[in-house]
Amino acid sequence: MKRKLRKIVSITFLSAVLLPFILVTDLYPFLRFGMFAEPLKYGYEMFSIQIKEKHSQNWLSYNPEYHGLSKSLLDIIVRRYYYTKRIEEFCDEINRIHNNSLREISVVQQIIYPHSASTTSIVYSKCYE
Amino acid sequence: MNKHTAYALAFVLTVVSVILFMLQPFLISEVVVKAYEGKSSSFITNLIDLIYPRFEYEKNRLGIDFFINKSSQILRRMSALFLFISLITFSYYRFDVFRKFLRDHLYVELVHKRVDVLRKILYTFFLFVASDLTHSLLMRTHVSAFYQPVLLLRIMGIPFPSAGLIGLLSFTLFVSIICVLFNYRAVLFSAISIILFVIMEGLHTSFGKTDHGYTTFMYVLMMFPFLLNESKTKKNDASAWPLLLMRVSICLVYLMSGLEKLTNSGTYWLDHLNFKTLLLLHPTDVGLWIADSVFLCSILAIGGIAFQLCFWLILFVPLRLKYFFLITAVMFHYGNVILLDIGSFINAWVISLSVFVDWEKLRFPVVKRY
Repeated sequence: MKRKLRKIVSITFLSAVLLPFILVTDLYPFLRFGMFAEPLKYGYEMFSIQIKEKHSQNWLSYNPEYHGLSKSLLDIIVRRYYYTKRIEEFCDEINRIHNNSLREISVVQQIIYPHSASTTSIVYSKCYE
Repeated sequence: MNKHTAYALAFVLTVVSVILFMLQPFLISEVVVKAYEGKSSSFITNLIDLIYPRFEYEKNRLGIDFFINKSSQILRRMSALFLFISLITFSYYRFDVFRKFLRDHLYVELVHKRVDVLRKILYTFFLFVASDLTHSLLMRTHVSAFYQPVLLLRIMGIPFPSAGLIGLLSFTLFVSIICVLFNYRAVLFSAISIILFVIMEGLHTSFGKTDHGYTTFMYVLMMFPFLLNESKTKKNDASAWPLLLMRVSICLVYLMSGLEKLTNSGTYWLDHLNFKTLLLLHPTDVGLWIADSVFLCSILAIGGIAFQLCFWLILFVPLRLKYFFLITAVMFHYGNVILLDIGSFINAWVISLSVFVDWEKLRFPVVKRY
């Protein structure tokens, strides 16, 4: 390959690898590697979903892996809907995924603290009956 | 570039670096405050939405200080990068010893056997990756309402595909990988396969969370068509520059991961409490056992970050030490699996490290045949 083209490819590729670090954001397919970089001093928030089916009285934990989502990915999706005040829309979508077979959905927020016990609370709940 | 141009460039970069560092508090605050209060111009709003879409909901969760700090970091990092490039440029042209040192250590000879072994290892693993990705995308067709395309896919206007289209993409990907494995038009099919991989992994990443599982593997595969193209040459002085780029990119990834931790958390990242919280967030049996020990939490935090900050030295160390670095890297990744349940034992990061191995010098039966 010509020397000039080789230089262009090299500089472009290395700049692209570095750019997300400089701009502190992902520029897919080039990513920032900020996982676990934030200090965990003040507690870390995690969301999960509890569901109750129509012909059942028992609460079940919604398993996102059944739909190809990891627990941490579900956490981020819930966070996105919760903090943009669209959590009802999210619950409706979860009900739709379950073929409208749910009686109730609860969004559970857990905060893990480094110095003390974690806290758990239901931050949103929706009934479908 | 001649000596005088290089010195001029180094000087300009140093000046820009100093200006950026001095002006960063004034340049950032007003823009960030306006964006945070939703009073920015439409241009700034669109720009933020384009490169930092999470701002829309993160601003409801985090205080303004967080964003001012993040934005200042951008200018500080730019400033540091310019200063670094300036120093390297100046030293390269000023000191013969430095120039010779870089040339000696960063020249990677093109060895056809090595390229051949790498092609077989990486593309065999690629079959596994393609199958994993296909499976995951097919499952996500049920939750496509949560699809939020990454920048590249937004620009290309790619919606979440139907199961049939995912099947078609996967089939083409598998055929391309197999063609590379059988060395049939390998340059062409390696290029096709990386394009498809970027699109499919992009679809997978477009649900709000960045998945780093295949990142270094993808960087390596991005350069592989160039490596295969170079290996077609019969010249004796051919250089394996794409292989060097693969190595440098992996070193940069580890270095950037370490620097992210230090720039965001400072020395608190080395505190045992920080590591303990990490272990509690990703509970495993071994991790929870370690979480009770202040000593082990401190050692593992310091060891992890030291590894990430020092891995780039692998480019400059002798062969035996190189294998020490590689073994440490493998232990680091499997440590993450055991302690934090992050990744798996079939690990793309570990496979990507194969680009550091001089396969033709190893005495495995499979290599002996050459």
